[in-house]
Amino acid sequence: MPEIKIQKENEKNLRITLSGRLDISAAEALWSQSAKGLRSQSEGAVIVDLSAVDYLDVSGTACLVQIEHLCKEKNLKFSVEGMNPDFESIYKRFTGDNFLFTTPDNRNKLSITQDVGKAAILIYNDLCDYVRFFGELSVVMVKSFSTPHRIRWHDTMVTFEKAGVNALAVVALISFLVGLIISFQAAIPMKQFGVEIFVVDLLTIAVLRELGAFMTALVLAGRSGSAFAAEIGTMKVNEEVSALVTMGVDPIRFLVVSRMIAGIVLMPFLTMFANVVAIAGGLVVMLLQGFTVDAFFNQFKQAFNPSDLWIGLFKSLFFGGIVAGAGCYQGLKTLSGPTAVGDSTTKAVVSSIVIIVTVDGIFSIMFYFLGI
Amino acid sequence: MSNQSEIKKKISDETIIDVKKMVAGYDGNVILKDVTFSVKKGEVFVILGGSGCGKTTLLKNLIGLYEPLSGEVLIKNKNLWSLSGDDRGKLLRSFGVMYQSGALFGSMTIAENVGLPLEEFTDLDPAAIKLISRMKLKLVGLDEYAEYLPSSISGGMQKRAAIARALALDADLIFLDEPSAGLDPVTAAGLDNLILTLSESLGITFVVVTHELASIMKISDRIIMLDKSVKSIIAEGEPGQLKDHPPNDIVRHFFNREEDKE
Repeated sequence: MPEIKIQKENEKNLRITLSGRLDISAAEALWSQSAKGLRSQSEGAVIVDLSAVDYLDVSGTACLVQIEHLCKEKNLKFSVEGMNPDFESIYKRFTGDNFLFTTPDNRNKLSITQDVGKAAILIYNDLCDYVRFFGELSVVMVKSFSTPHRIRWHDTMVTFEKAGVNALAVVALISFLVGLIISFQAAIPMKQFGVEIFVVDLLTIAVLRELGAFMTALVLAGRSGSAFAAEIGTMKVNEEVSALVTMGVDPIRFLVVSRMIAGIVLMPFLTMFANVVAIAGGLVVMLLQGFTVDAFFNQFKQAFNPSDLWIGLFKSLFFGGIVAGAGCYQGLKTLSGPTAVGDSTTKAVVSSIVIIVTVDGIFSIMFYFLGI
Repeated sequence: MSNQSEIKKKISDETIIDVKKMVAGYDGNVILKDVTFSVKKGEVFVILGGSGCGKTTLLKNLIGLYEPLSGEVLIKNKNLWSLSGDDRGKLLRSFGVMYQSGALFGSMTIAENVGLPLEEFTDLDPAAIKLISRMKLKLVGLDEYAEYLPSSISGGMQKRAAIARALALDADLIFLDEPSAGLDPVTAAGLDNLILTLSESLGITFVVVTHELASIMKISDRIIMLDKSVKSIIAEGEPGQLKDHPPNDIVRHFFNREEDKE
């Protein structure tokens, strides 16, 4: 075990005598005791006696460097005595190096106002990039359809299966529960007025026009938009995207078009499926409320307006494109580093949802003014 | 070879690694068999061989990532696989490992990477941790990059930072997996010098997996050579001796950089 002895050599000088093995296990005690011993020393010299030290490594040396630094700060003379020549090469590497005590440069640290401004500019730039990307994508899509044999149909079908067919179970679960919850929550107050049969009207309009497409888009964003971002992001990190570029292959045509087609085509099918399952959720609640299946479907026929269905399916086409496009865009924007792919997937999901909600709002206003 | 003779003075008779009749592999496939060797304290011990001969498999068995299929690996006279809890943790902390890719934590700065073992396993003052991390980085020539993220420095720098992290707890045994692979000759030579300096001044034992001839000749005290045809050690000895008097054609081809025609 190392020993640390701190004593006044005379009125002015302080002698720190160290012995034993000065390694990481000794560093903690040596660090605190030497700092404590030096606190009362305001003039004279500090002599560190190492003649009884058996072993000195970098951690032990760190304590000596720290003592030297403290002495320098207090204008005390510092010297080392009795150091074994074997340890000198390590010690000499660090002694007198002020750089070791420098703090990171804070000149680039921004104020809150600057932070807010910077964030606003980033959002604006991101928005511009999105517009640019979707514009470029539209051109590439049109060009691809002029040479359909160039479209990667196999990738499209694989994506269709992964993002569409494999998502049926989760879409069914979410839609059924949402249909059930909406009907149940609406049935309670409506019952007080004796009009609980109109729950069917509420559910039919809400699901066909809004919720079917919206819920499916959310599931697709969480499940497949993030997967697109992760797949393409990993390719970007592994420089596979760079390889495509240097081969003269347009990454948007190669990677994005197939996913876009799959996203746009599968969304109406998934939305239709979600509509049916959500209505089934409502049916369960109505049966529990004492209505018959016939009564439910009679009311459903009255409430059903084909334009609601077509509006929902029309919007789902856009939602599918937004989810696939945002996922691919964030994947292509992936930077380097281990957190980059994770950041891209998060951004893909968040931006998909934000854009979907915004677009849905725009459609609502548009349909209101068109009277449909 | 003045360096060699100086290092030899530091090598003790104490055995720090003892591998006895080890069989290693994955999923029932035997990659290495009947592997027996020992490493003395203070040695720079090199494991070499062609691609796919099982160098990295052997290393992973030595550092406790894989359990040998049979046989025994003793590190400091202890079998990692017969220890548990604190004892296993203590033994794991007593050696450092530098992985081929560096394996630095990408979300932390270089200094934070080096300081991590100190934060986790000591009660040192944060200022002490910071200073020691800086000093370890200075030791590998990276003190000016302390606040950089791993993604912002070159591959060679990442390897050096990984060595600094392996040294964080002042381990007396360091394993290096392909330290100079993919580095330019100047950086590789710098790494070799660093290994020699640490070996000389701190008496650290190094087990280095490499197939870089220049590096082997410069740093190693003793080597073993593996070969995939026999799935075992085909030669053991000092590098000069093996180069001048190769015991078989495989060793001769390796040291003379000749194509193996068989």
